[in-house]
Amino acid sequence: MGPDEDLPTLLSRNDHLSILRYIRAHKLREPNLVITHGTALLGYNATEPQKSRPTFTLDPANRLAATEQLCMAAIDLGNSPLAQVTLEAILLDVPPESARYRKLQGMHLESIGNYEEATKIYDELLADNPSNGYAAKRKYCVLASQNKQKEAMQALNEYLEMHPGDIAAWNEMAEACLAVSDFKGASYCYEEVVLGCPLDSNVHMKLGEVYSTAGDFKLARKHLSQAVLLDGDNLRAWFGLIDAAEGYLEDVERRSAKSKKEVDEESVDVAKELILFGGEKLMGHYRGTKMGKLIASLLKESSQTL
Amino acid sequence: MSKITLSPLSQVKMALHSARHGFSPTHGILIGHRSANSIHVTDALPVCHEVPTRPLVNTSLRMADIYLSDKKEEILGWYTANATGGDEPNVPALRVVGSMADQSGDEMIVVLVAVEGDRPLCTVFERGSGKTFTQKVDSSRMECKDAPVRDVVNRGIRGMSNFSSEYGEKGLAIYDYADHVSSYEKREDLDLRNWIENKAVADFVARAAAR
Repeated sequence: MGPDEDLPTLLSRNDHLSILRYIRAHKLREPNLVITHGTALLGYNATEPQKSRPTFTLDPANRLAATEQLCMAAIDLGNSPLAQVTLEAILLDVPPESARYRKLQGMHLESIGNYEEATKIYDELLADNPSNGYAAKRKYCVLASQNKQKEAMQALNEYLEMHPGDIAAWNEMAEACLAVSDFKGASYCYEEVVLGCPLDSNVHMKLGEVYSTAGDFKLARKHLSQAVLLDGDNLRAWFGLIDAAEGYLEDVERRSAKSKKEVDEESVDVAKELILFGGEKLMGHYRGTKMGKLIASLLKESSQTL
Repeated sequence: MSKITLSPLSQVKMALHSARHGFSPTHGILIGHRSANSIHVTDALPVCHEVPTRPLVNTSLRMADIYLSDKKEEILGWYTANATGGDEPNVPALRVVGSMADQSGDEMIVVLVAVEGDRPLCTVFERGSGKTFTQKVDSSRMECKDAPVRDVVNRGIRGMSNFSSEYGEKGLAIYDYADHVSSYEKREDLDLRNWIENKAVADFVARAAAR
């Protein structure tokens, strides 16, 4: 596989080994391709795995890597017999107490719904090495797939205490918090994600939306403004910014009706300007489109409330 | 409230939206009209394939309102599909429909969509005595046939996953509001991803009905 070769080129040549390598190197999730080319390369039968006649023409390192990859693909597609056969083949080269092998075993047990045995394996892996991030994450996945939200969040929390730098895990926790309407928790998690990806417009947008939903319109404005500064084509952030500004004005009106506390006039002016400015920017994107008329009506409604 | 009807178009749209985003929750708006003792859902407008936030819900509902302003139809409720199964609508969907009902003062429904498994494609819930939308509407009050719609849904799912010449190069696609406002390459994409009309799906259902 040369440095300039892409997947379509390798597929056209039917270069099984290079295709598998490419998929591994680029961390692609293409289980169908892996099964097609992995079974052809290694001599397995995907539809009748028990009739497989594995070949041993490859060197041990390449054969083991390809077999592991084929096993993961079989698990991904729920082909339990093929997963079982490839697990047995891996055992020919690695001892059964290998952490990597046990991880695959755990994933296979998960895929057939045997969560109890899978969790046992992950607990053993964590007992051997408490910083085994993979086992901790799989424990969370087992609980999440059983809809045990509370226990899943607890497991993910334990993982994050050991691995606070895992941005993807913070993102997952944020979504778990949102699913149970814990907006305060979700905003805390998205703040961690923003620390890790400060120049990602979509992350600021998500945080802004969560603050808006939680009723903190000032912080919502801050992050949605940052989102559009980073990416002027982020329409969702523009709409969100207008909504947050409107929310802030409604909030101010509600509070001033209840108490005689002084209104922050500057902030109110900023909110009004944001609505008009956001509207202009959005119409710039929608000009000449069929949806433009509907968007114009929406933005006219927003500006008329000012 | 007595009878509830879900049109084939609304059911297919809800199902295809859920099928397209199999591992995520999906949410959307139900539109149609009310008569003396019944609710007729004529269409579904897909909103998002994630937990809905205030800006997503507010903006999509306002756009739906403007779209319906010159039609004799109105917003009737919300639909959702759970990410990991379950027999009741998820908490965010209950929160949204509760808020819609409180603000409008109208009776609302929430539909739970389940594309896989043996459960009905669409299960309708209404507000119970506990004020949450967890009271299942009895099938005797429902006027929609599951089996023919399932066939259309299955064909639609195949159309989404195959690059079939019947649907053009991109296959049969259904877009929600979140897709519409995601990054786009050219201005024409904004009309292509028209989440309110989803013309390709509407045409597909019309062709299926004509067969």
